[in-house]
Amino acid sequence: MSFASEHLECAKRTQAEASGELRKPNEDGRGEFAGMDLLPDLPSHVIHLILQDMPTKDILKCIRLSKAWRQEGLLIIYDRGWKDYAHLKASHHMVCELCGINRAKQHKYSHLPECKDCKDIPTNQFVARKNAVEKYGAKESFLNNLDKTQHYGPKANGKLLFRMYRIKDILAR
Amino acid sequence: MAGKAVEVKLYSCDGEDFRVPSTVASRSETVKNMLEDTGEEDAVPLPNVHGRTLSLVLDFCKRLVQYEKDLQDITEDFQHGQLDDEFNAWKQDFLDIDQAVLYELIMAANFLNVAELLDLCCKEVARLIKGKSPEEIRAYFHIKNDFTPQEEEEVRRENQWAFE
Repeated sequence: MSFASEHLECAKRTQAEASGELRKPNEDGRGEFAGMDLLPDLPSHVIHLILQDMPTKDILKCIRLSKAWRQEGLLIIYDRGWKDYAHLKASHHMVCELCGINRAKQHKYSHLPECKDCKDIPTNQFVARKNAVEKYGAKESFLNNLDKTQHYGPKANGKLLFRMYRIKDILAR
Repeated sequence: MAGKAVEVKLYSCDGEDFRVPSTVASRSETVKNMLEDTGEEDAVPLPNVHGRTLSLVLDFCKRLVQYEKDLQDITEDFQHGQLDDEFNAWKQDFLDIDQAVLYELIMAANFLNVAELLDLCCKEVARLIKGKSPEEIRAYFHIKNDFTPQEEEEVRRENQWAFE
């Protein structure tokens, strides 16, 4: 191969690499450039679109994919609010107060309104508040404040359940 | 009286020609802007889109236009749900494509700025990701892992609790 044709090949390759056309990961996903079986990188706003409706837990998985996925995933998590993340994390270590089963193992990924093993967790807000006050000694002002600030997800019942755990968690400190 | 639909000509990067009504082509914001700039008589070159992908994009746009037209024509409420069901079923069939084509479709929908199609494809990718490990997702979608081993370990460790 002459110098000129080699230079031309090199220039083409550099251009293609820069545009992401020649990127092919190794088996472990770590990037190397090869010349076949190629897919370009997804633009960041497309990654954002893919992630935006996912549960936070699945996003946590996706932020391990690459820097771009991490950046978009964290943006969404922060956008949802740190409390969503913090509560997901907190709930992982919690034990259902009624049945004593580790809730994370039983209901991984879920925002289920109730524990499947003990159906009588209050899903009514009045009961939840009543229990919070009577069982855990929460103050009304504290609950009012929680009402204003907490958001745990789309399901109101799940929200209440998380609130119950949260109250217990906070008061136990 | 409704006038005859104006047809526009699009051609893909591999030289394939497509003649479609301008109402269909204009579902792509990119094409719509080009048509506004250059007029509907000139053929619109789409250098980033292959013929087979453009064909899929146009199929989607045609069906979307049809769906919206049908929605305008309905007279009874129950027909709304029926149309939605039909369109959803059609979309499911439409997405019965392999992963490489889905990827091309996303890139085309993004370039052509067909919001409904991009949204549909992104939802499909999100569905495909569900239940897969990060390693499986990377391999499936050919995502380049650009973390250093140290960074990767750190990222893995910070959210390890979520995967126990």
